[in-house]
Amino acid sequence: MTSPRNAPASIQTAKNVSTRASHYEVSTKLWALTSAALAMPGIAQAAVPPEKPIFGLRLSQYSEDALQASNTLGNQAVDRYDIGVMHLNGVIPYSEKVSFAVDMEYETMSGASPWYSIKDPASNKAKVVMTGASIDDTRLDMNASGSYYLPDARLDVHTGFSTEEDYQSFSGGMGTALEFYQQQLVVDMGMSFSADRLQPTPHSQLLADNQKRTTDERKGSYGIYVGFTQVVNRLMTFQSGVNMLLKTGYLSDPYKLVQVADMTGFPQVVSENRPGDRSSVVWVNRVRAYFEDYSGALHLDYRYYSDNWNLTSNTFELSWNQELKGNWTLTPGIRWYQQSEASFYAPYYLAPRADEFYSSDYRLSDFTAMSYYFDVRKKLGDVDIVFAFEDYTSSGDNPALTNFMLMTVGFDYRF
Amino acid sequence: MITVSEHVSPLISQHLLEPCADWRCVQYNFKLMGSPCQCIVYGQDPANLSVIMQQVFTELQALEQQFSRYQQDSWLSQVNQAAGTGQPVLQTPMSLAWVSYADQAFQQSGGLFDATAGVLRQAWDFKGGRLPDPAHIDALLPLIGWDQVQWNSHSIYLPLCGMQLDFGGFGKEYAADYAAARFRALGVDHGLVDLGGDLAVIGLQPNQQPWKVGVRDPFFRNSQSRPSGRAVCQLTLSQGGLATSGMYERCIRTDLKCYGHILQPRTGWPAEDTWASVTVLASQCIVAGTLSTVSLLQSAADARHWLQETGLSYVLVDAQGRVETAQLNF
Amino acid sequence: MTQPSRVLSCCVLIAMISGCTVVEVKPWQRNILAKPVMAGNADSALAGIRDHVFFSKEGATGTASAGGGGCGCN
Repeated sequence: MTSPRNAPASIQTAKNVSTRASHYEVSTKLWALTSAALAMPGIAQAAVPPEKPIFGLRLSQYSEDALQASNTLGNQAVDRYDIGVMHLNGVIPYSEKVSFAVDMEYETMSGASPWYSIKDPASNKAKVVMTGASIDDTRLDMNASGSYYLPDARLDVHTGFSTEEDYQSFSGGMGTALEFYQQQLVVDMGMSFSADRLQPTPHSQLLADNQKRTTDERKGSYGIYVGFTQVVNRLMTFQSGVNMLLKTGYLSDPYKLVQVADMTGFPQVVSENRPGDRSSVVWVNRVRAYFEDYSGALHLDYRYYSDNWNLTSNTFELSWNQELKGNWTLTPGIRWYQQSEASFYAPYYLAPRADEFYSSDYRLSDFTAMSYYFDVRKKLGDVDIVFAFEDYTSSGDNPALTNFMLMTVGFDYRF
Repeated sequence: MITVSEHVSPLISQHLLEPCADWRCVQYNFKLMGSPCQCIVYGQDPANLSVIMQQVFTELQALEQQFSRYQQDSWLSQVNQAAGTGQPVLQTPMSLAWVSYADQAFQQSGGLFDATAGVLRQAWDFKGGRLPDPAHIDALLPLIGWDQVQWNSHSIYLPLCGMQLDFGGFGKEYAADYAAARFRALGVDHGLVDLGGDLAVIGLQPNQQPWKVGVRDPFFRNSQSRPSGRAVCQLTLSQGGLATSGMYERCIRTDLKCYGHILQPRTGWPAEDTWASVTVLASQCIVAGTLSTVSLLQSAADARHWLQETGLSYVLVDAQGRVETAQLNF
Repeated sequence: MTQPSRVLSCCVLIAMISGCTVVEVKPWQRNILAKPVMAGNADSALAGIRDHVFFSKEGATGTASAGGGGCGCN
């Protein structure tokens, strides 16, 4: 804006607040000079303004690939789940000490899912029987959290509620983050709980007449976590954490069945049955390293999981976050997942189990999955636009293992 | 880059200084680091305000003592006297912060802001109004270069005899931030610190209004440059700091052009084709001052782009008197 | 966990940890660390969606942070 020399001077309001929240792009020189200035004695930091409010929307959609004909009992390809997700989130800074975040997820699911698997006498392979009916379900999930900032620490509390036709869950938790060495080391810890209630819809629970129908079951989970984030040098951070979770109550899937050969060898189809408790430990490690010559950051994640159902898994994720001119960020990545089978899992059972635990759910089987993805992000003024694509395939012995392609579009708006 | 010892004050609108209800205003004019300064504070007990004012003034004088090149026994003078002698000088916690800031300013400006460029003072005679001898400047250039300074958290050493350290490029701005912070710590919530044109806000006016500040027209001259100059632009300042750098405050005029007092460390001469004055607003006056000074060491287009990258508010006045501003709302 | 995966995981971890000689980073040197591409999750909303999708397709659950609620999908 230019004005000729002799025009009347107009009053302009200038806001010279230049401190920005850590998730903004910060002008390097301004950051460096301001930080150096703040290190000078006697300069108390000007009142730190709260971060700006952010509103975000994501729309995701994925369709599981149709089950191959050779894997189904009827030798016909069967369509599986189509899932759409709308996710809204907002960060609402309240003051320099308090900030809130809310998010809501609305998910629609329709399609058929694996019901049980059997041993096909003709081929001696396991094959999937799908639920004939197509399920149409929606889920609404809402969460709210609050954070309170102290000079060297942050306290968080969160609560959430999820509801779908047959399942409600109420969750909550609290945590704290403690900062050391001017935030070069942050230690965080917390705990969470979830109280769930399952009331299977009768028409979806298809059983033989003499099988017990599940009507109203509960499940509780309790978790604690502790971890740290360490700034290693000006280009790298390392994060590591452990989460221990205990789930008790009704942990089976009321819609799934298993084929069990009885004492005489005759195959029966019965409801699956999982143990009433599942305790697990998760160990997550992450490295973020920036390469100045390439204007990009390498992300490497490793997660180890192990539980008392004897299921262990390893997940590796590697991505490259490339900054491009014009405020574009391009992130290709890969994820490799591997898990071993639960101790009581089998695609079908040739004899009854003494502990009476059965499940043919592919999610308890031995498999590996690989996904390739890329994200594109563009900043336009106060709006960030994001597009993401992911192609997931899994392989293993269970015939019901699924592949899908996930697509997401969305934006974040900073006020 | 030469120390500017006579900043011209921005204009602070008179009507602000009328008392607001039961608030009393105490205004103190003094000279510090060679410049006319004033502190305006509001409070309910003027006697107490005066005591606070005196205390802050005393502390500012102590600061000046440590980092002034005029005082023979200041830390800065010790470093300058030890140049080329092989004897490093120990850092104090305060000096380390100053040296670190000077280092950051050097890095972030691509070497344009250089705390060793004060030796150019020996060649440039602004009071006399004569251009320097190019040979003299060339002789001084090897003594300039922050990257030659050997320093760490323990000590600092200027390797060549004749090298000089000079914190004048940000000393006054730092003092403004320091004074404002001290006032706040001593319980003053409303006021403004003005050290020769470098402003730091202590707090809003008692009626919760921001301070109205005018950016002085760099071309308007009367015989004594009295404070009743003309403003090209008015701003409101609610927090943080403001600093102005101007080519025309002190310059040597020839028939062809005006040579300002902000000199490039690599050439020893002022920048060509740059702004007449740059005013920057930032959270700290010291940062605003560094940015405004470095802007005058670049060409006009480069300086504008460089400032825009920071996202801060600024006012630019060019040699023809045209004004450009950026008001960025956060 | 199979023997090869165990060896691989250990190697990756050792590689991660050996890169970590911690150096003091002054506040004014943290501009790169503040970049969005250096955050734990560059897009936390998308990360949440992905985590939920994997949670419903795989056996492992959880990350090392606050747990969320349950759902009928696993």
